[in-house]
Amino acid sequence: MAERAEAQTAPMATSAEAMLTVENLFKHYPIKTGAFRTEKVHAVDGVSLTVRRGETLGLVGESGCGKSTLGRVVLRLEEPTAGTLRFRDIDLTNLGARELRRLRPKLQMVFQDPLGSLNPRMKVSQTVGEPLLLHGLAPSGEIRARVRELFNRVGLSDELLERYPHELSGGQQQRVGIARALAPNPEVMVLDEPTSALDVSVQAKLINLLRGLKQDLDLTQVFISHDLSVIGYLTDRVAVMYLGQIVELGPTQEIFLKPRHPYTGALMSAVPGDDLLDRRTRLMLPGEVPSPITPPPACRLAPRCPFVKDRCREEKQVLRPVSANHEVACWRAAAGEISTEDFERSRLALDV
Amino acid sequence: MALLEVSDLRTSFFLRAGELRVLDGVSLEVEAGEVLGLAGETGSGKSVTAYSIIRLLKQPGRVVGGQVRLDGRDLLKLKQSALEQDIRGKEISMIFQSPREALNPVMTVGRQLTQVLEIRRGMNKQDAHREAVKLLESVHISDPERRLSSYPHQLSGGMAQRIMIALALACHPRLLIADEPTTGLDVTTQYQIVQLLKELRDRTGMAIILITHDLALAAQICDRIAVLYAGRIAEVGPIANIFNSPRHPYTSALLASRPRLGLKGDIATIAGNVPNLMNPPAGCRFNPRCTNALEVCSRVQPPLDPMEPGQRVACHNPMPVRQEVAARG
Repeated sequence: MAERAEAQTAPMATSAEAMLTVENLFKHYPIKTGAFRTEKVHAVDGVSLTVRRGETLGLVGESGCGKSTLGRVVLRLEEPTAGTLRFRDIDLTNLGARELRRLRPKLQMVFQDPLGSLNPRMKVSQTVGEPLLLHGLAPSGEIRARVRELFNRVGLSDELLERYPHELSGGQQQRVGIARALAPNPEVMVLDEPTSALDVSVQAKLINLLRGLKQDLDLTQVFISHDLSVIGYLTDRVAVMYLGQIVELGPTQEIFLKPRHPYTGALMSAVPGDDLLDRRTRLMLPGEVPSPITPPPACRLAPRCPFVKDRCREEKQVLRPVSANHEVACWRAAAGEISTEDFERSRLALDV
Repeated sequence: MALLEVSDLRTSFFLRAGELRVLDGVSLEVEAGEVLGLAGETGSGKSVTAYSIIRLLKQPGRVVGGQVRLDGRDLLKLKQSALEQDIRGKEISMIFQSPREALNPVMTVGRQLTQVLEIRRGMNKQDAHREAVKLLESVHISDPERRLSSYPHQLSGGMAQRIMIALALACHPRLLIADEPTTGLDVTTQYQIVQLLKELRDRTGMAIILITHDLALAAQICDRIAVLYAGRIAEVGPIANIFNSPRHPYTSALLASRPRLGLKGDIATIAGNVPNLMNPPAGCRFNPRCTNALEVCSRVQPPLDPMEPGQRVACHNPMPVRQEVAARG
């Protein structure tokens, strides 16, 4: 990977309008851990980021890192514990139910489980038309035509209009979910693992559809996935999460080819490259992800990090700039003490 | 002689609507100590092949023809009692996709392990305990004494799969069938499990059948791979040959449909959908979706024939051998 050309600069100018702004966002879930004891799961723990018009931001990390929670909270499908959320210049954080409902058409979500997210007792044409009806976005006489148009847009044939969700294949169900999300002409769309439940060949077609939509509709997307190959192909920027926090944020090419944070380094090392048959040892982090109930107090990767110093166990890490549009929550990486080459070296040291 | 020889295996599901021919003549061999990948998409028959081999098919599925020979002994003709006594867990073990569901939720990990050791290997309590600790060490579980008293819900997915592997290895099987062992795990954990399987194969010499839909994962561990499509083998051979120069148009399309960083334009896709096995296409089952299809393809089922650079392929009009592979010899 190292000999590849220098990573391209960010395709997204920082001047584009901020569509979603998240500042110091927290989401904690109380859980009972004993008869009289309640503790908190730190699902999202101090996240700040901005998503700009027309860009696709990838949200990656391992299960339990808080990426799906973050996706739901930014659309206020769940209430944040603390922090601010803005859609364009509208403060979403304290918006009442009524105002939020008025904005809902602009903020849409596509879920991972296509069958589970569709109403089983509704024909799929009704499901897709429902947001138009509820928000009064189209006169009832025009809804049918609009639904037909949406079906064509997502590559579903008209014959499927009167079917029920269980009569469709997984790929078709996910297309219905996308059509429903597109129906109210959203400006921001959060997609939570939309391709994960699908077979390779079905997935490929759906990814092409998503890519086409992004180009044609000027959509701003947050794309959540654990599948790094899909993220590498579809997104402009990537935020890497670990235990409820963003550890690195930057242009996709740079995150993949020149990761700075040791966690990103390990994650990217596990991505299959162009040569699938490359069996050289990958960079591995020892141990397992600690519990989000009692996360490590300072740098959350410290207990597993091969580059750890005393300071890492004492000082909380915040995102610091390393280059244009690229930030990392590791003081050593920000100071240039560790780099992608070190990840490569420690990987080769393992390869005996 | 190969450790396992599967020949012309046919399995059907008998539904009210008719007979679903899920496996339509699958033949393959597994040599001692080798890792054979079974790759394919949902409904290709990869899991059914495994369940047919170890005879764990559930109703309405039934093996309707073929042989499964382990050291020459046909498992399909074995009595149920002999199968349970001599084969399952002893000669052939299996691990599954959802390890936490495959473990008993109301029994500690330790008890599940020692029970197997006491019953199957006739150990007393102390020996079984000592052996259980050793088994956990062999799958790199830290603090094994403490882990033995854990219940499955207290384990992470990766840890649960390690325990499953330890259980599967308890009686030193000669063949391990791993059915999507890393699906649902995180990428870094996936990699660790694959490394562990590789290490155990090297150390114990057991053979592994790895069932997966993930070609990248198969590339990390398999010696050979069989690509299944709609209940038949499309292509089988050494993994490097098949990845460097796939000859079956389906294998080739599957490898090309991977999204990746820096890829410009659309990803290559396969036209159409997987056929309904109630009424599969005549001839080659892939022919309606195939870019190489000839007239003969819709009439005559292609045999699985040897082809350059060293695989067997069921295709009338295969992809050309890739230049760089041909040059390398």
